[in-house]
Amino acid sequence: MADTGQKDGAFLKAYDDYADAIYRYCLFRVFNKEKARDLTQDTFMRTWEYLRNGKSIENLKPFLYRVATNLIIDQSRKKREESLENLQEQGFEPGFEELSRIEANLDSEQFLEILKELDEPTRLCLTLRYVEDLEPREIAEITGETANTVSVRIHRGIRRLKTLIENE
Amino acid sequence: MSNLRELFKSYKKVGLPASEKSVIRGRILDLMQNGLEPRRGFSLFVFSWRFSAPVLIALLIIILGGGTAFVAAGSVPGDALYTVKVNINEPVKVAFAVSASAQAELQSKLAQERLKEAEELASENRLDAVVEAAVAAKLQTHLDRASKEISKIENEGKVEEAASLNSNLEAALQAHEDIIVKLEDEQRGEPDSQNDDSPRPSRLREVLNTVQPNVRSRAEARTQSEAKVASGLQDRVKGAAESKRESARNTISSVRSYLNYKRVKNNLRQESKDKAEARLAEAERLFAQGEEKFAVKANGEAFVLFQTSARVAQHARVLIDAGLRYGLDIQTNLRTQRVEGESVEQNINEGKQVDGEDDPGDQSGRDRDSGSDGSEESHDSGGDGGGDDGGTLDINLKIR
Repeated sequence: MADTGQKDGAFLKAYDDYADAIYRYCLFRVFNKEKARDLTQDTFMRTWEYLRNGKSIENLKPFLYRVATNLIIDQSRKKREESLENLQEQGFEPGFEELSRIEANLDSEQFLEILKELDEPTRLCLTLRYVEDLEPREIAEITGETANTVSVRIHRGIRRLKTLIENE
Repeated sequence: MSNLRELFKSYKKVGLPASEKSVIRGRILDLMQNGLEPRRGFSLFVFSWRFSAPVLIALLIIILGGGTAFVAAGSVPGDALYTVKVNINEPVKVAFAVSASAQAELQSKLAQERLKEAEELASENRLDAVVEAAVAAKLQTHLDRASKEISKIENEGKVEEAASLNSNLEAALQAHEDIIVKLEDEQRGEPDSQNDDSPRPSRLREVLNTVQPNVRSRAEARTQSEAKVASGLQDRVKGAAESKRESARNTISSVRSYLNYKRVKNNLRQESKDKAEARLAEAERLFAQGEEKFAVKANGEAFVLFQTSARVAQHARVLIDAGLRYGLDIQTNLRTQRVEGESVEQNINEGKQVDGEDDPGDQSGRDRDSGSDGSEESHDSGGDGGGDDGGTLDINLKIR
C-alpha cells in the first residue's frame, strides 16, 4: 500500500512537472490547443498504464515525449479517416493563432509563422532545444536519432530560420 | 542569435491552462485509483469549443459577470436559470472536484440540492410528476456517485474520512426524509389519512422512495466504517477519536450559534426552536458520554459517540433551515436512542401523528426567510455519527 502510494505520488509529481512541457511539445506539432490537451492527457494515462503493468521506466521524461510522439503519429493517421460530418460536428477549430494572440506578442506571432515553414523534425529539435532547454543528447533519446544528427538539425535549422527572418 | 533565443523563450510561458491541467490531473488520479478508462474529450467543460452558442453566451455571462451563476444557484426546476445551474454551474464544480473526498462531498451536496429543490417546489404546490421523476433520478445519480467515492476513500484505508462522509450524508438524508414526510402530511391536509392511494397522490412520494433506502444504506456503510475505525491500531483510533472530538465540538457549537443568530431566532417558530434546542442538548449529552469514554481510553467508543453527537447536531441544523424555509416543525426519526424492534413504518407513523397535532398553525406560520441559505447546511467539517457499537453504548443504532 505504502509502495503503491509512493509510486502514485511520484507519478503525479511527474505530471505536475512535465505536463506543460508535453503540452507544448504536442502543440508545436499539431498546432491545435484541444488536440494538444487531449494528447497530453493520453500521454500520461498511457504511461501510467505502462507502469501499472509492472514495467519500469528508467528515465520518465524522454519516455513521456516518446509516448506523445507515438500518439501524435497515431492521431495523424486517424485523421484521414475522419468523416466530413464529424468535422462539421466539431465546429470551427480555433488553431494556434488563437493561443498566440493571447499568450504572446506580435513578434512571436510572426515568429511562429516562420517556424511553421520549417520541416517538422527541424522544428521539433529547435523547440526542444530552445523552448524546453533540452540537450541534443536528450532530444536524440526522444526522437530516436543520434545526438549528432540532432545537433546538425539544430545547426541547420537556426541557419534556415535566420534566412527566413531576413527575408520577411 | 540571442534574439532568436528570446523568441523561442517566449513560448516557454505557453502551457496547459491551470484549470485544464487540474482536470487532467484529476482524471489521471482517477485512473490510478480506479483503473477506469477516462472519459475522452472535454465536452462538459468550460473550455470545450463544441459548446453551442447559447451555452457559450451563458458561460461568458458567468465568467464575466459572475452574477448569473450566483443567481442561478438558487433556482429550481422550471426557473429560467435552472438550466444554467444544472448544466453549467454544477458540471463545472464536478469537473474541478479532483480528489475522491472533494467529489464525495460535492456529490452529497448536489444530492441535498436536488432534495431542497423538490421540497421547495412541493411546498409551493409546483411539483409535477415529470419534474419529480427527473429530480429523483438525478438524486439517485448523485447518491450513487457519492457512495462510490466514499467506498474508494475507504478502500484507500482512509476509514476515518469515510466514516465522516457517510455520517454527514446520513444526517442530511435523514433530515430530508423527515422534512419530506412532514411536507407530505401538510399537503394531504389530514396527517393521518388512512388511504395513501387517494385520488390525489401525495407529492414527493417518489423522492421519498429514493431517499429512504439511501438513508438505510448510508447508515449501514457508516456503521461499517466506524467498525473499521475502531478496529484500527490503538494510536490511530486514539487520533481518530481526538480529531472527531474536536470536529464534533465545533459542529455542535456552530449549530448552537446558528440557532442563536438573530435572524434565525426571530423567524423560527417556538416549537421548532424548542425541538432544535432539544436536539442540541442531546448532541451535547452524547458528546459528554464520548468524553467519558475518551477519558478511560475507550477510543473506539468515544469516536462513535463523538460522531453521533455531531450527526445529531448537523441533523438539527438541516431541520432548522427547513423550519425557516417552510415553517415546519419537523419530527425527527434520526436514531440515536435504542430503538430495537421498532420498524421504520412505525417510526414514521408515530412522527406523523405527533406532527398532526401541532399542525393547524403551520400554514399561517410559514415564514420564508430567504436570507437563510440552506446551502451551507451540513457540510460542516466534522461531525458525524454514531453507531452500533454493541451493548456497552446506550446509543444503539438499529439500522432499519
